[in-house]
Amino acid sequence: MEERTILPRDVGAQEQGTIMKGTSVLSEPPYQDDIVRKIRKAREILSDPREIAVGTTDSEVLCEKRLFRLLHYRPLVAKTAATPILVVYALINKSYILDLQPNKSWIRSLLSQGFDIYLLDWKSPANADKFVSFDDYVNYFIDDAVDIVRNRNSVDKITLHGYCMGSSMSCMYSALHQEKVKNLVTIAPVLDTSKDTTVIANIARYMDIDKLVDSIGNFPPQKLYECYAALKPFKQGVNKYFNLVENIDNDSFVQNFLRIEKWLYDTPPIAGETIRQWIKDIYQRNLLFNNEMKLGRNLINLSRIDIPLLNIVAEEDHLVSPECSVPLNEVVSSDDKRLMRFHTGHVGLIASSYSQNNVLPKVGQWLRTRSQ
Amino acid sequence: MSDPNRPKQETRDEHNRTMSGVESELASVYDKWNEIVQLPTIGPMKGFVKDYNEYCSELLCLIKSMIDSYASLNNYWIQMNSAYTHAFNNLTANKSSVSTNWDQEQIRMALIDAFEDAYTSLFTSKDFAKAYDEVSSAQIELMNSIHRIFEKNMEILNMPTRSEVDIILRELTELRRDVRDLRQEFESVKKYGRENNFT
Repeated sequence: MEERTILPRDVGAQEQGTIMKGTSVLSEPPYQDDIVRKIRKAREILSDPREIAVGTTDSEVLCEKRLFRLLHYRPLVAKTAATPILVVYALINKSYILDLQPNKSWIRSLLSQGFDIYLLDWKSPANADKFVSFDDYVNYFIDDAVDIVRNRNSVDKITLHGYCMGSSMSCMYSALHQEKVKNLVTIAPVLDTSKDTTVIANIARYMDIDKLVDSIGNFPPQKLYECYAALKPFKQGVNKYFNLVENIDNDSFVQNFLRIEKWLYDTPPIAGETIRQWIKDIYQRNLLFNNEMKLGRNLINLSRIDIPLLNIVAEEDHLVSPECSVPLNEVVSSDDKRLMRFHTGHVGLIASSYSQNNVLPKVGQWLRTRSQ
Repeated sequence: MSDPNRPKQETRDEHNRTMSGVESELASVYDKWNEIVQLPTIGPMKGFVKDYNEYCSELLCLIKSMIDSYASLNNYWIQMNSAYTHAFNNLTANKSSVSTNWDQEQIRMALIDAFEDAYTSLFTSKDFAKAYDEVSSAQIELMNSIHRIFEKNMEILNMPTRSEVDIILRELTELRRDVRDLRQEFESVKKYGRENNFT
């Protein structure tokens, strides 16, 4: 039988709320008491998280319709770029991930670099909206928002800036209405799904989406939670709760944890016809990448895009494979196109200290030279 | 050579044989009931028992959906259990690399790595995606059976069914698009008029 060596406890580490080294923990009563206390505290915090502040950057609602709100962020410094930026968020979860907390806010960083920022914030579709499709989202809702931003700033063209599914929608819009877009900035666009090796792509490929939409209508949040639960199930799904318990006395850690947790489980349904197109046309048939996807009567041809393009991908993205996003640069006709790759994940790319220090300064620099 | 980490093939086959025996028995019962409820189709009785027959038929569909749902879950759980066994076997197979001096965190990370590898490899496999879709489809079928019973109830109450409401919603969405198209065309005509000084 194996013998386990019991090393002395690291009291300092315990005080800092970090991981304890070299203990056979459960055998030592004081440690056992402490772990029980921490688990109790974690349980209390998780069952009653009170108010979690997210999306705190000051903004005004310029327009509110049934399925979207157009927000304009108040400037933090004098404007340094003439071209306004319209950020198009995804239809999955809520847009405040782009403004999660002041020191990890994508929006705030762009504002503090002197850009004029607008955000297309999608509202939850009701059961009555189940026939709303990408045609509505792209050709009407995004188009309405683009026109409002253009008129308000008296400019012909704006910078369109999408995140994840919002990037794919921005590509669709640019291919169809390029006369209104000066620059296209995409973060982790879902594009060449034949190269997507993620769990989400695998599940999507074999999903009978017709049956689901025809029977249920809108895509329910529970289905998305099922997918989330299969993404890094132990490294993130299980380990994050160990980390929480270990760091439960570190207020900053707990607040960060709660903000991300709130976002993860703040999931609206997705309109039925929209998710049908997303799964069937994009994941199962790869029509968007092959220039065969139709929105209403319009065929989307990505090779029509010849405006400056900045495509940003995360090397460790487990929601959208980098291999799925990178081909955007190959399929457009732009002469001025740039691919930026960063060693982080899907959310780390937009809502982390890494992003603030490494990603956003470069994005700002690229934008500034093309926004005068 | 077979993978020693996988559960024995004979065990799975035996389980599947038992399950298919239960399923065929239930299917046989279902078919007999279905025949019985179809019997009174001659003469005026047909009209009197129409609602009764439809409800019986829907209830039988509901039972069949429950059986199918249960059957699809079996395949799902076999795969999940197999990944669990695989993770544990990998961990014990590599125990020589596990130091006796390891602390709690190192042990935890070794466990997490083993389980992460096994389950991520499962979740990215075609077999799992198909099994997941089967579970999901079976649950939807179950729900559809319940929906059909509700639709029948709505008909009896002379209220619009979900299918009828769907027709209205689809038309409403198309009307909204038409209105927006018309508005855009109107705006472009107005703009053209302004630019060319038409009054």
